[in-house]
Amino acid sequence: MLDCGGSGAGMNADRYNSGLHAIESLLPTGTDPDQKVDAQRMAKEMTSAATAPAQSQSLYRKYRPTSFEPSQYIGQEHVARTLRNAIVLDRVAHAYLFCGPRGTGKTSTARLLAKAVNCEAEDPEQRPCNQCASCAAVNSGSVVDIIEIDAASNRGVDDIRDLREKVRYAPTQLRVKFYIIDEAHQLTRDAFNAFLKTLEEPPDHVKFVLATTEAEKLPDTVASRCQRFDFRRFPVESTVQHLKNVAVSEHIDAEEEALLLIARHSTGSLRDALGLLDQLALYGDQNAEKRVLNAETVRQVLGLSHNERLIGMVEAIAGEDAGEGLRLITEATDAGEDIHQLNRQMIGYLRLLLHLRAGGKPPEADDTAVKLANRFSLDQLTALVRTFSEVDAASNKSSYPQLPLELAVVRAIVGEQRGANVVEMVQPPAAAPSRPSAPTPTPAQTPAPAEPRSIRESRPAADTKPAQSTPAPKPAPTPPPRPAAPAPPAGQGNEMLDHLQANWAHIRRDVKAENSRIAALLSSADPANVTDDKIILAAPYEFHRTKLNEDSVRQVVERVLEQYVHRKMAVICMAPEDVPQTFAATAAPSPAPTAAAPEPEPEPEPVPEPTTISDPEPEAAAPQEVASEPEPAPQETVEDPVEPDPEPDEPAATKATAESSTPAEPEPVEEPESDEKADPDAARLQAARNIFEAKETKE
Amino acid sequence: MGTSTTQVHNWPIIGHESAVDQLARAVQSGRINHAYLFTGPDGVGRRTIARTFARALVCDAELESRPCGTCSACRRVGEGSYPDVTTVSLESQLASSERKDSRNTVISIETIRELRSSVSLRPMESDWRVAIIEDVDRVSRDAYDALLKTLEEPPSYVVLLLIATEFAALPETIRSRCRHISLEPLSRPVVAEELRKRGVADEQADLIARLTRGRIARAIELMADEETLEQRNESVKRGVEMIGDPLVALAEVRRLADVYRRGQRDHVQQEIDLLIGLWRDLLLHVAGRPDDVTNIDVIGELTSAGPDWRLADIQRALEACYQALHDLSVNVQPRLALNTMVIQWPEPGNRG
Repeated sequence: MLDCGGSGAGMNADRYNSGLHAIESLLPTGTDPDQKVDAQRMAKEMTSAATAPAQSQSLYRKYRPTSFEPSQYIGQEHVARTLRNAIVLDRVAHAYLFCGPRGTGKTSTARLLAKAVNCEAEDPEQRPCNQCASCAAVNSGSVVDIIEIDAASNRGVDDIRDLREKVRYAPTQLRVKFYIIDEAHQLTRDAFNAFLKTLEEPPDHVKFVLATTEAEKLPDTVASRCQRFDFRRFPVESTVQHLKNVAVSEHIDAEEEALLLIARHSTGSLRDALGLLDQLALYGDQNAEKRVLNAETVRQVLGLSHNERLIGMVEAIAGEDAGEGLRLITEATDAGEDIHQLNRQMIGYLRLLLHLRAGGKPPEADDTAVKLANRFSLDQLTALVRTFSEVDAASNKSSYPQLPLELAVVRAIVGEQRGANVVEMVQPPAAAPSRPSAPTPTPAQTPAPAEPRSIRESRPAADTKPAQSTPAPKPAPTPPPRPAAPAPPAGQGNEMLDHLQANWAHIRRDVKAENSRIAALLSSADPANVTDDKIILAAPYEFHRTKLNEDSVRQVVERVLEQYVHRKMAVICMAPEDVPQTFAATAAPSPAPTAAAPEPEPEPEPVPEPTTISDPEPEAAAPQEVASEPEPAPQETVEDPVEPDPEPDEPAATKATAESSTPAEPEPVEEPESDEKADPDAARLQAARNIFEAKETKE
Repeated sequence: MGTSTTQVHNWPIIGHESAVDQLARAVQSGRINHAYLFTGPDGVGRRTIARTFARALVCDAELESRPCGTCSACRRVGEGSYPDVTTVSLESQLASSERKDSRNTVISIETIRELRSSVSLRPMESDWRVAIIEDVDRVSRDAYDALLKTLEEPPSYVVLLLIATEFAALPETIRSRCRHISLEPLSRPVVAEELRKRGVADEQADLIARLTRGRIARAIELMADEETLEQRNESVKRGVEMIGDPLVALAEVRRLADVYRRGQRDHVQQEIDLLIGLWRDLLLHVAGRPDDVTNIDVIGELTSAGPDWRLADIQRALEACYQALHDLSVNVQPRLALNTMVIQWPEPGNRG
């Protein structure tokens, strides 16, 4: 798309340089000369091509492209280039499949193709010329050899049989008969089957174009007989460009921002965009010489909220002012704004803040957005986006359309404390022993240590040197985390455990991408301990443990975890009460394989599975609890520390040797740092020491 | 309005200035789109606007004074006997259906095909053939597709007016082919003013305006409907008692569950809806927006039921109500669903 756009711009420049800019002086000022030339040409070609004097002629019907020229045919350059080459080389296929979302030019392209194939211009490069008799006939809509079939209403096997009969007759006016089958996915199965033979080897004088929005509904047997082209949504820039051209030729004086709003609203569909332009242009004063379109009108008609309202709502959430949030919603509904629209805009704005907070620099962000973004932590913003994303699903069950949105605002505010707790949990305990739950005017500092890490770890491929780059995290506003906190180096089991627990939700999501069944298993397990080459998961139920310890399952989990810890680690699942409270040093091989199949617990306390609707962060809260659970009785675990190793397979054996070769390495690193840890860690460390000492005496 | 300060039309529509303005301008300038989609909640005036638009299109009067409301065309459109204006709805489908016994829940592909063939005929009396399709939300999936091609490029003399409740629920392919006219609820003062004009006492007008939340057609209906108002008052009283006393609430949901089992599902849903309304009023009150409450007549009793309502509690209560609505819709045992709802409500005496 990018390079095509580039070449298009190049051609514009060429034309401009070749002297056409003489027209410039004739045109109204205020737009780029290139565009004016384009617009003029287009207007001329298009109005000449415009069909019968229909009474109601939408802009999107009037401005269908009439040639593959870049000035006309925008957005789908990859399609245009291939089709043009096919025409030039006379290698047009007998069947095409055009798929893509609505309003991306499928039908228009099909008609263009039909015209180009039938064009009589000498030079194939020029086709369609829009001048020869064939082109003129097509443009006037009087051709009988281009047959458009609405598959939705002619979907039966009888319709297709009828088509098969007619296919045999030679075209009457043109060289090649074109069948354009719109909404092709609507054909019935029998109809498709009846169609197959014709589609595979039609007579030379017949070509087919199948257009559909849902290509996956077509049988493979049909799809494989066609050349498939995927139409993409139009990027905002080219939509704006096209709107500009149309506006010029329609004598609409449109503000740039207005066009931008329209383009954004139409989400990549040119038909939507032109329809909106048409509709909005009517809004202005009809008696004036030129029709005027400004951004204010667009907002009003589309029911868009001003940015100020969105900012106000986010500020209300930040300031925990529920009344203000509710007032803004009432104000919006009173102003006749669409409540779904408001919610969508709200999500869009929160997403912008999320991008900012994560260190991105979206072009539409201004100073206000940056300031607002810094009032939240990344987790809070994530929770907010999630809260507001759920609004649409809940809506309209009751007769208060705005209530789901109001509830979301209230939840965002009264859920704030919980959100803050989550932030506290995922960060290393040393960073913030205690912290007021309400966000202070500059809360950026408190949650910061947790964030840069999670950002980085979730994109391991982008950052090849995790440990070294830690002191300079990406987002500028966040202060660096604890100096030289190494990410997950060997032996920092504690550190790595925190890291895993903090990212457990991400990990599960990544696993889900590979295999959702395993992800479901993982939802009942939590990282409970880390030795220097093992990650121990705790799962209260026998079933989950057995499954997770199966080779095929384990390998998937290991593969995903590897991306988070940047090295190969074995994964073992055991019951929470069997998890040893030690780190790497104690992981010496032990002859007691008891942990592999611990006594089945009739009713172990289930891993917290919050069912309360309002709990915004269930996953993040879970691991911590599990990890700290067995602590009170560390001594009992001494006898069977870490050696479940249920399947004595090859990797496990190498693991064992690796363990014995580096047994005590991590301990010295651990000692000095852990002294400054907060209480829970001290307890854990004490447990570790006890075990270590116990082992030494034993040995 | 920004671009226009003077009223350019004489449409008999209350509120919806921006929508009416657009349509009136389209009529006057002759730039009519081939398809319009009106969306908005029930009773907000979608049908009225669509019919008025149809009248304006076929009216015999000068462009500027359309719809005149007095010519034969205007009159006959109102009666539904004008040949160039066709209306399709669930109701009309049922009336024309040969199989009277069949369930009439969706607009079928046959109905749409009939519409298409009728639309392909040239208009008989006016310049336009107008087809009004109501209940577009209830058009079956296949029928949507059958509609698409017509909707994209109908004959030049055709104008299609689609009426639906929720824009977002319609297929994208339909949405992108129509000009969307969103009809939002009117603001409370506008509705109240209209009711006062029709002779309703101030206080009552305000209450009805609050209760109907900007759905003007609904408000006018309710204005004359003593019985419904009376029922509402009783329900609200019960609702306040339920919120104030968990025991009452438990007893009451037991009754509601029985009612639900006997098949009066709509009634139960309305009751829950009312409870949602009451909780929302509390929410607004506690959050410092006492003026926005719906059931203004009982807000005092509500707040005195528990003087220290907390925002988080109310929010949970509301979510419990929504959950109950959802549970009922997926056939959870009614008593279980309703009990669960009530149990999650904060207890007035025992909070904080």
